[in-house]
Amino acid sequence: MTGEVLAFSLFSAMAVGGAGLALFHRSAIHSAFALLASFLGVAGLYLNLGADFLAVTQVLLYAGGILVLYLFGLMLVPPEGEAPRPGRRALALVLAAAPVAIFLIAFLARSSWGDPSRLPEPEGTVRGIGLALLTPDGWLVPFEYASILLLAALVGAVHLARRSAPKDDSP
Amino acid sequence: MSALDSLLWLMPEAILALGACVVLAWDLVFKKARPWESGAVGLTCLAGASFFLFQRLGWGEADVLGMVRVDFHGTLFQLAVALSAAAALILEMADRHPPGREGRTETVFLLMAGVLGAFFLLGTWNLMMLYLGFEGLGLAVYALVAVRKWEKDSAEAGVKALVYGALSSGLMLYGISLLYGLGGSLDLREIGLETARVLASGHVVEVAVPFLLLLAGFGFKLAFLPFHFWAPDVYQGSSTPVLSFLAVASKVAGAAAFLRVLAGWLAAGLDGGLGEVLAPTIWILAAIAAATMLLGSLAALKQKNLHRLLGWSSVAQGGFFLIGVALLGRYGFEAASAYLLVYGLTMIGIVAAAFFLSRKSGGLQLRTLRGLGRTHPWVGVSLVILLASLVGLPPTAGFFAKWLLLVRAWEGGLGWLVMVAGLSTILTLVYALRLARPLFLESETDRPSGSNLWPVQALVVGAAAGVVALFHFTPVLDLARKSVESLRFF
Amino acid sequence: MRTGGWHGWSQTLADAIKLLTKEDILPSGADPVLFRLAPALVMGSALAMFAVLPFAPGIQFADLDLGIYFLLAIASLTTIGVIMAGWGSNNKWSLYGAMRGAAQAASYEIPLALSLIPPILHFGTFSLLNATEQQSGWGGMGWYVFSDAFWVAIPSFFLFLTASLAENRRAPFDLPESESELVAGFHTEYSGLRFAFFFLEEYAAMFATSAVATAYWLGGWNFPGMTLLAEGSAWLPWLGALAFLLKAMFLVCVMIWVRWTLPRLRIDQVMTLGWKYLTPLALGLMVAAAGWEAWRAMP
Repeated sequence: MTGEVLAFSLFSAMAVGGAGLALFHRSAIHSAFALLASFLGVAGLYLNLGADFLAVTQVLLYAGGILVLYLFGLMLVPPEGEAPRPGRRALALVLAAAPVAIFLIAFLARSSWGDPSRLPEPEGTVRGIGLALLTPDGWLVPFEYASILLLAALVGAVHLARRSAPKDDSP
Repeated sequence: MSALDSLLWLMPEAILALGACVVLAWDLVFKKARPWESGAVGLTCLAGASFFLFQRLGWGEADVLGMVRVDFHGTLFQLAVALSAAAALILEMADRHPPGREGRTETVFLLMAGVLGAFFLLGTWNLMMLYLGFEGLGLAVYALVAVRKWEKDSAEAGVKALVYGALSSGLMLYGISLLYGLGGSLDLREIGLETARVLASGHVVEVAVPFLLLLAGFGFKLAFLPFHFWAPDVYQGSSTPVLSFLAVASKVAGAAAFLRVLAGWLAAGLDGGLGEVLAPTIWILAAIAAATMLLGSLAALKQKNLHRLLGWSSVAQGGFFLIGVALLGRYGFEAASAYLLVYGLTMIGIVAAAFFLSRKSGGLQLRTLRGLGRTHPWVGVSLVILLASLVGLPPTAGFFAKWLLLVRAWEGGLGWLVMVAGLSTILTLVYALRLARPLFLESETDRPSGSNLWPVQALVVGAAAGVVALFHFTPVLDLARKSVESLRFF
Repeated sequence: MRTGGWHGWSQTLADAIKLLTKEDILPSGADPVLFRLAPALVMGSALAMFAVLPFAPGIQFADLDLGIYFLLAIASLTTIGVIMAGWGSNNKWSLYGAMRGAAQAASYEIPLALSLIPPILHFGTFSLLNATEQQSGWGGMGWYVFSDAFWVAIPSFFLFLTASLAENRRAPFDLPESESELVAGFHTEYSGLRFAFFFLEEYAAMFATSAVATAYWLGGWNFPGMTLLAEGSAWLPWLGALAFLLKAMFLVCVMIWVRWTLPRLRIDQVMTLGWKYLTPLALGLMVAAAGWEAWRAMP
């Protein structure tokens, strides 16, 4: 039990600390690298919950895919130096966000989310996830629909990104 | 249910999914395809899907493949979405500006993908499916808004839609995860039962937080106050066919799904005599409705751009719809559903008329419309009728739709909301007049007559005729009643 | 073959000592944190890949259920190390190298992962150990490339090798370092042990990907004649490990051989090859493999 608590503390510190650093660091590139810590921390939390497939997917997709694209994009943007030191505006934002944070913490502290033992024991095997995704009475429809959703996103992105065709294209 | 049966039940979705892929491949295979051909393919698919949806209306209810829910409410609004998307497609095919094929196939494909998303958004009790549909519709809309990327307005609108939309769907996803924690299931009906239990034991905050988060998600989609600010800019930046999709298909789908979510989630609580606990919900929704109506119609008064005017108007109409929702009861939902159907039909016609007039005048400013009602009397008169329906004047369906909403609100003890709605209706009348007046003034310049755009004219006239015919309101009321019944609200 | 004794055997040792004792330079304009972190990240991820390799019966650090999936995820972290090094060096050559590395890795990860799907479908497992054990038939020659699905196995094998060359930034895909134009690409500014880490990472990753190819396509530790050994023979782990290392080293040699044979591609050629040829090919192979395995599994 203590090992689990220790791992949880470590990983959540990584996740929250990385996210905080990403938010508050003045250089965009450093923020992006701080996200790596955050992603790995979240992956660790998944692992702690027995969701091994999810944890590895988190690393593969977020750290290996999305973060690389972020960094690539950041390097294409001409450097503008570091962001100015947070001034009064930031203070105002923090003051505005603080009540929300306090509310959420208080809410989490006083709420009863039911009995955790009611939840099924995590199995986290690939086989289980594969069967759940691809059996007709499981998640087949959302799984297949998600592919069309991604196709739509892809078509939109490609259309926006590619150079305009020459104007004399009309028949 | 065997796999083959399931496929039969899901025929509309299957046709759309396959048709979207055909559209995508069409230009690759037929290199010499004309610009409108992919649109024709899309229209054919929408017609096929609508045919099967029409059949499905009579097939009763079923849970298909575990996730998809077929019932009257879902199928009815899916049909509405399919038809309004077909209207948007007709506008897109008639659009000769800019010439050439760039972005056309993409527009048709994205429209169809958006409709498919709306189908799944409307036809499920499962929050995962619902979210995917919500996101699918949203993604299609973001891309559609920005599809004319060479125009500055369009690109700006695309970025705005994307940023606000992503924020809203993130908030909604957070709410869904809280609901999953609350109910231990993704099925809204089961979550509803658990919610009633939690509420009965006096834990209100646990339900209030996910409620507010879901409200934020749907609020962005439907442009309620205080989540409305993207609407005018996005409407202004999108092309008229896309505006038609945004203002009708996307809005109707989001609104009907909102009804379903509230019905499934809170029905058990309302049933179990927890009306008192849910009273603040009614107040929140009513306040939002009032503010949305007022602000939308006030802001519409000052607009000079046709698209912006339509954007604010659609915000205001969303406020009227919310009156029915705020009543959180069977009669309120019926009135809201009926209003939604009439709003859809009216708005299809108005946007089509706006498309026609702006193509004839060559601009989107109100002042450029001068005299067009004289030169094109069919469209001019039809537009006046449609605007009357938007305001809620007899003899149009809009009159009864609005009347029903106000009566239900009065009966529900929301007298002040009726007052606000009345005021807002007067404002609506003023901006409708501002839109209609220049049409019948003398034009200062002679305009060359271009293509006759007969499909668009037919669409406008057809919508106007429909609005007048539905002054005989019973069929609409029947549909609304049956659809709310199929949600098993009480 | 004059330096370092007989066939230069001590050259490697001398090189290692040289790298260890060289001055560790931190360029004055560099980002101290990122510059120092990058080699550690790269080296750590390369070493973590070895955790799931099944060298021989009983010789494996961890038989994860997720084996190859884990390995792919860890391998993708290397790219971030490369970008970190390129950015942290504050040198334009390094930055160019890092950007090429990012573009290349993001593009070739897709055919790389897809080319693994045919063997995964064939064996029905992510676990490299399990896949190896399933190839012990035919007296140790039941390798995937000799199975009834050989017509999918052989193209996917070559696809995997090609994509992993690009993923490991080996010639002809070594644009991130391309010494003729970018000095040394993303590790231009590195010296001493930190440079050695990048150097070692490249070879470690080459070995790891070769080992994966061995385990999935070339039968892992299975070798012809292994059935002649008695059950539970003490020789089996040794001979198995030898067979595994021989196969993997052969593939490493192929990679080095390719390096000295083919000229470097241009970046646009790299992208074209990845997106327009390898990815569709990988998708096609995936569909073919899925169809074949489904047909085979039919009652």
